[in-house]
Amino acid sequence: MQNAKDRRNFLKLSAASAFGLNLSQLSLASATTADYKALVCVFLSGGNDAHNTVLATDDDSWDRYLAARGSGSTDSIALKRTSTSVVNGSIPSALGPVLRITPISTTQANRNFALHPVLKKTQSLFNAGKLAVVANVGPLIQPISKQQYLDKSLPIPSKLFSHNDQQSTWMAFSAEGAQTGWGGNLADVFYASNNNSPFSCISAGGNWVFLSGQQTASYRVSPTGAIGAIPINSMAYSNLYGSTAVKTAHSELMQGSGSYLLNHLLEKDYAKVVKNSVEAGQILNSAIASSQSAIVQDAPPYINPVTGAADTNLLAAQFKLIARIIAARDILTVKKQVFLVHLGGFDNHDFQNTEHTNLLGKLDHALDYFNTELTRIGVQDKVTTFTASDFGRTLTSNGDGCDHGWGAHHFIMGGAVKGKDVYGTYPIIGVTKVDGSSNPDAIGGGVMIPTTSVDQYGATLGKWFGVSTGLNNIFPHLANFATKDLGFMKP
Amino acid sequence: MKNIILILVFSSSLLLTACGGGGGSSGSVGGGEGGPETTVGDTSGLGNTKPSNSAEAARFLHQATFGANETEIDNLKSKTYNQWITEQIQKPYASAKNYYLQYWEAADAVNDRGNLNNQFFWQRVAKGEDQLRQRVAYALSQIFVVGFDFTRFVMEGNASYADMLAKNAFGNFRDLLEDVTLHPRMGLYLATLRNQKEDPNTGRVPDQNYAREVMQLFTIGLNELNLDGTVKDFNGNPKETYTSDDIVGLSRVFTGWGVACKPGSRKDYCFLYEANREDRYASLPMQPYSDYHSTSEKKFLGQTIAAGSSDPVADLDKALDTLFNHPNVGPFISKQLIQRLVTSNPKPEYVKRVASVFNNNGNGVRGDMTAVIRAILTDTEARNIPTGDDVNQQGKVREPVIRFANWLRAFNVQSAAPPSNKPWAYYNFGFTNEPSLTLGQQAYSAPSVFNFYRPGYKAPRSFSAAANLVAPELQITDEVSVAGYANFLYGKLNGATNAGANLATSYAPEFNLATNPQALVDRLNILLAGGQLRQSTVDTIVTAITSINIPATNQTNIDAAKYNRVKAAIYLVMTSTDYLVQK
Repeated sequence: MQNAKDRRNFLKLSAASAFGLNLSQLSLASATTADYKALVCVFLSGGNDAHNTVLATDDDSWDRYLAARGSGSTDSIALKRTSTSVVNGSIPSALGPVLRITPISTTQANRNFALHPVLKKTQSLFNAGKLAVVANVGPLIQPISKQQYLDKSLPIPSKLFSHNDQQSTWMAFSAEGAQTGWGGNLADVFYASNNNSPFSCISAGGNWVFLSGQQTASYRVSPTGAIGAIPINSMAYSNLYGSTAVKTAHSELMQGSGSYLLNHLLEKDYAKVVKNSVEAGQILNSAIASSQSAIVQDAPPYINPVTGAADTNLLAAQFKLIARIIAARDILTVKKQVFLVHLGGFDNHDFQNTEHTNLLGKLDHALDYFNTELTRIGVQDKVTTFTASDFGRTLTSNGDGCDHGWGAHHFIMGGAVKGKDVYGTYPIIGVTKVDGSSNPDAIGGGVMIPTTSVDQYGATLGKWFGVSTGLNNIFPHLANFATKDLGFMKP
Repeated sequence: MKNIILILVFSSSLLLTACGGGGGSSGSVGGGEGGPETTVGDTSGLGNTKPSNSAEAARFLHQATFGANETEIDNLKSKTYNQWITEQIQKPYASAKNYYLQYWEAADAVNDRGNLNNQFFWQRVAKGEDQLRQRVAYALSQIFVVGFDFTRFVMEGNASYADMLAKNAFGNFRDLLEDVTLHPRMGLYLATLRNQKEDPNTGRVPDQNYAREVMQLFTIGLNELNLDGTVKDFNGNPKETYTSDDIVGLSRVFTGWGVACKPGSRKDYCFLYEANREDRYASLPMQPYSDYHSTSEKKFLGQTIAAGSSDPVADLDKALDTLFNHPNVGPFISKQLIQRLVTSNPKPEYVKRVASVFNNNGNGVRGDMTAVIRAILTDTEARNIPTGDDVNQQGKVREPVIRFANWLRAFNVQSAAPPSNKPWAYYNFGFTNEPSLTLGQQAYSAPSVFNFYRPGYKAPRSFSAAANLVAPELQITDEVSVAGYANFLYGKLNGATNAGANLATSYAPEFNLATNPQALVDRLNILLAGGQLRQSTVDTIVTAITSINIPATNQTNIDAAKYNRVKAAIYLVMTSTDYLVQK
């Protein structure tokens, strides 16, 4: 469905930039109805343990994995490579073996891979060519070797291993305090052709800098009810306490509108959010009440794989709302959208076997559900979903969990993804190499030094999204990497 | 369990007693306090003045308590700020744990445990006389964050954690740090509990969670700071306070701490298997288990504990002393407390004055929290009304929890005594952290150790960020939460009850002013906004509520109209941006 030639009819943005971004270097595809595309970031906050998400099962790696993950202890967090009898009800053995995945390419020579045992639907999506793995992604300034890292001879991103700072770095390429993220900056390119829509960037999972651009603001929706935008009820009434004057005053005092003007900066900020809530909310709720959105089905029940009991999966609820919004894209007159959904709780310093297993179960359930709904809507190849997280984790076990790391493996899902493959470079796993020598791919605790940068990861997605030049402005370190396109998206 | 008395000794210097029956003893007083008339920490001298009017008193109370009411305004007007602070320090403190235990016992007796949440917080917000202590404890809970869950097994521990913060609110920071570190709720939250030494046979290494966060969030932060809280400049770059190696070293210190052992239990069993979620262990400080303590060399922040040290207590003392004496602690903690109580963007000079008191209360004592609190509240920048550019920049967005607390206190809104078959139905507002239906914030339930919002948060594309201002509370201000707050307040104001708290107030003083809209709004301005509403806001509200017609006859209709004026006025004030930003 993707016609590259259609998108080569570029339109130069002439607006002089009053912001840091050099808009004159950006170009965008001419917008037609068929041009709809969306990126969906699945943010796994807390730092997903990539070592137990995508595993290398070749013998050397597996032995190093077992050695580091406490395979000899009672609450080992090492998964099982082959089916074993259940030991004392322990979760790794009860889950069964890891799920083999076989890439179609031979990029990762002599390596074998598998997914966590609960990622059954993810495995199916991989095998169906709908999903790919990008190995060992993380924030980098430029390619860096272990020796260069140890020698401090090259710069590295600041505040590595710190949750809030690395969340910000993944989303916005600098530590906490960053003001624009790459989701928002990608959306900015299409802001004008989106009619300056407030629905260019939508979060169903909280307030994150990822969706803030120079022009585009993050718009927050609520996944918990039947409607996506929450109306301020008192503003929807014809009067308040029997008085239209009270209602008018209420509206003005909360929005700084009419004759009531605001000067205090914090008041102006609060009022701006209120105003957006009121104005955009009506449009959004009307759109997702349409017949177009009505085709979106509920997620099937989610069962916690550890307890076997039904559990709520708020990630699936967020996906449902996003699917309804995408289904109403023509009503909202948006052609490019960036979304964020959020699943928290990945900081599994302990209780990893129960908690991480359930979290990956939710991810698996929600990804499959979202793929089903996108297919039903008919936009499976127009929406690309990808994971992101604070950081990867240590390979070493601290007993029943693991600690903060750096590089991590991530998933890309969608009809436009060249699936069933592992992109990037999957590193040698281990605190040390099998022969006991230093592992060149890992620093203390078996933490992976990223071999693919977030800039490359994002730029590959951004190029598919339709931004063909100016990516260097949005991804500030892209120029430092030889490979600008990791190749996981269809042209 | 009602008259439980626990006496716990867990450091050489500290004796904590948590007494049943509401606590008969006065709160501990910080080191260096000389007596009831002390002014330790008051650097401006303004603490020795009295508020000159009700608005000034109310403005102070909005910084120092969960909100102003007429009784407390009158009380404060009769004395100096310093006297009021001293009076507050000496008030016996309401124990959350005792409340919880009574509640639980009663709920258990009728086999209806209802909806467990932090009633212990709200009932003390509304009724606690030790307002300054509780308000400071709440501020501390946003620095030493434990995101509570609300299951039976940890409820007692949650309440106990809140009590621990309240006890230390007027103690010494070093004790606070140790109590936080060894509290089993923190132990469970940041994984010190049952953290073990390294084991080459299994590859196990010590958990780094607490080692990292105690530095990043609880004591020194990421960058070296000047005394005024600004980041030190090293040729244009900041200098990080610690490295990954420091975390590895410190993680070894925080090994070998487990739940308090049941008498007669085998110690290895206690450490490894004793259920730390049982309430029996939820409140007792963690205890050392030297068998599980790392004896490797421990290097951190320029200190080295030589290999072979097997005493968890001695190692902990060394680590906490090192952190406590780091020059960052004063500015790092002082600035955040100022942000919680007074303003999001204190001037560096303000931070410096408070941090200097932290470093030395004037009597050679470091970490005297009473002096720090007094310094914050009596500072010229807290007491003087902003002028010039500050008029449009100073202050902070009120937290949603505080807004609702303001309403409870200003109008003496009471939760009716619970029915005997539902003892849990008392100041029980359910979970208020959901943003679309409630407040989008629940005390003691931040989503992570990074709190509801970050002290350095700048809202993207905002007017405040463009002026280089931080606005932590804007991090939870979005299209959903602004609506959730307004709807929640509107519901409560108009008598929407829930099963957990049958709220009632007569609004008697306000009702009596309903025929005088100007006087009514002036009163609300003082009670809710410390007199800081702009004239145009007051005028708008006066005009609006005057439009609610009071009929000439029919007393029922007359009363209804008067109540409508009162509620309309309160709602207009409490949803106006002028109120929402505390100045």
